[in-house]
Amino acid sequence: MPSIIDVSGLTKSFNEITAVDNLTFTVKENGVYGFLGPNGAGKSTTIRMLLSLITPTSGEIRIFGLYLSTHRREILQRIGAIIEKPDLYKYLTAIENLDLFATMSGLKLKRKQLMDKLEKVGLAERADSKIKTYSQGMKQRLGIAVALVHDPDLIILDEPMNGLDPQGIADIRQLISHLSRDQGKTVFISSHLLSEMEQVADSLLIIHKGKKIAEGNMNELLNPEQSRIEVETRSAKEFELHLKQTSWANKVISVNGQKIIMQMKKEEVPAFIQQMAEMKQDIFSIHKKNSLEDYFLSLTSH
Amino acid sequence: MMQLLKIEIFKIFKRPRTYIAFAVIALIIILIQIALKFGGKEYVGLMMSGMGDSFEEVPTKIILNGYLVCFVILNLLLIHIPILVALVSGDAIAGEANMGTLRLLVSKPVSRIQLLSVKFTATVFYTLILLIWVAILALFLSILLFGVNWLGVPRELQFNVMESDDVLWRYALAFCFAAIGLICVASLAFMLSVFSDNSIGPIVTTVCVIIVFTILTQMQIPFYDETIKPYLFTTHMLGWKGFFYVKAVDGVTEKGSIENLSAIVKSAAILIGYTAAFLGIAFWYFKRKNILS
Repeated sequence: MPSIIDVSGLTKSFNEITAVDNLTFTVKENGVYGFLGPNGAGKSTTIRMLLSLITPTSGEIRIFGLYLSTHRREILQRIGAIIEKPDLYKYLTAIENLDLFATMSGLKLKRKQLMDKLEKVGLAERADSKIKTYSQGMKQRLGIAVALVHDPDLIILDEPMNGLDPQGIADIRQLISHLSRDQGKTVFISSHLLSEMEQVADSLLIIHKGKKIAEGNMNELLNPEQSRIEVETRSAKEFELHLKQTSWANKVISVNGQKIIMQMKKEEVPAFIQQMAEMKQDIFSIHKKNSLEDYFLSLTSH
Repeated sequence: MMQLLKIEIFKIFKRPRTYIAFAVIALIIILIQIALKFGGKEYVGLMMSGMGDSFEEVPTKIILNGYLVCFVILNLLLIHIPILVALVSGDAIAGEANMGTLRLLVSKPVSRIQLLSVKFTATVFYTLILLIWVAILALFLSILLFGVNWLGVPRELQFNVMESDDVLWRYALAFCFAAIGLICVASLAFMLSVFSDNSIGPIVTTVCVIIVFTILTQMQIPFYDETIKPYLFTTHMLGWKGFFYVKAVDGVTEKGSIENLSAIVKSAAILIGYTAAFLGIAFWYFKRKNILS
């Protein structure tokens, strides 16, 4: 599969602070690429460099096989983006905003075409209302309409779910899946909502303090074959003593209060539960712990 | 490029704040016209005091005609209109940054130079429309209200008198000169706007610069006449008055003459130079600016 984004040795320093440090990654065509990192990790700075809002201190960015430094215009022609909040002109109506940004992308659309695009994000009825009367969710949907107005091949979304209610988040999730799976677009998305990312992203890039700490296919990274499970019991230490009499002892990762974390294959879990029951060990609850959130925290919490 | 310019002009004239300047100008000019309509005799008397006896016999309604009213208005307004120009030009880039739309604009397939060029052109368009509005109200409405006659322009203990058919072209050139002065101010506010992410800063800074420079320009201190005044753009913005200073031979005005044309040209050139410098800095900085807003 050809690559859409090729970033090599990307670095950005602001005076003495290095926001992005020698970052290298590749985004393949088609699919949803999740971009994660704690606050201040350098996600927004990286996205802004991809959109040529910020000039890198060093490193190279190639998008669609072209160098951004020399083919800015051709590249941006094929990108649609929402950067943080979808701020638009509050004193203009939705259709005026959409028309304005379509024109900036080199398109001259008729009212009917603009209305069709607003229809797709459910804003056709409020097309002639000024943005200042819009809710946050409506602004977000209009922001998406603006990002997609010129039918881009690559969609870059920086925190697109910020400030949305559960329905709004679900709508965005559905739209991202539709763009990727039905329309063959490549979506590069950063978000703090790890559970949402887990649902939409095919691949992940995780950065911390400006550096890449993990990259790859979601399934490979989360390794569903080796589940981390959390067992809640009366006393984890006592439970561990009993475990030491069994072959499960080498599966223990950590023991803390009433909880004990173990790593084992998914197929082994029923046998483990059965054996503990036979040994009359009380298990109050058992949880799978290899969610994206667990993985993310394990990488970034130190 | 034309499409982008249309967008910028559309955005300027869609904002309610744009019309504040038009309303303020209309209010001030109409107030001056009302004052001169009803209290013109006293004003003319005050203006004539110390000018000798030669004008005492001339009826007020001849002296106080549309041309003189326009001159009075421009004398009062042309130093304050720049403040209104700064409202829009200081907002040009900083306002976009403040609204959060600058990052969207810069991430579109338009070069930064192109973006800045259309933004400045739109600012100039607004400035010229504002000036045309001043011309309509100050000149044409005054002519309508007060009629036309010869124009007497007071200068240190003397009058420069121009016949009525020798005045209109002077106003045309004076407004052209004023446009150069206002565009210079617009470019200063525009340059400051590029450096800021909040429009209050560039607007207030431009207003402060105009106030300080104007005070320095009008200070009657010989030390400043040579050292500072020749370098202030506010000094040269007064150059429009030069079109109403005429040559006279034996006390008789030479029709169609301008006393010191080279001084006017020099002032215009200095204002254009300032404009070029302000724009040069703005373009240089904006091309490299990290858009963090």
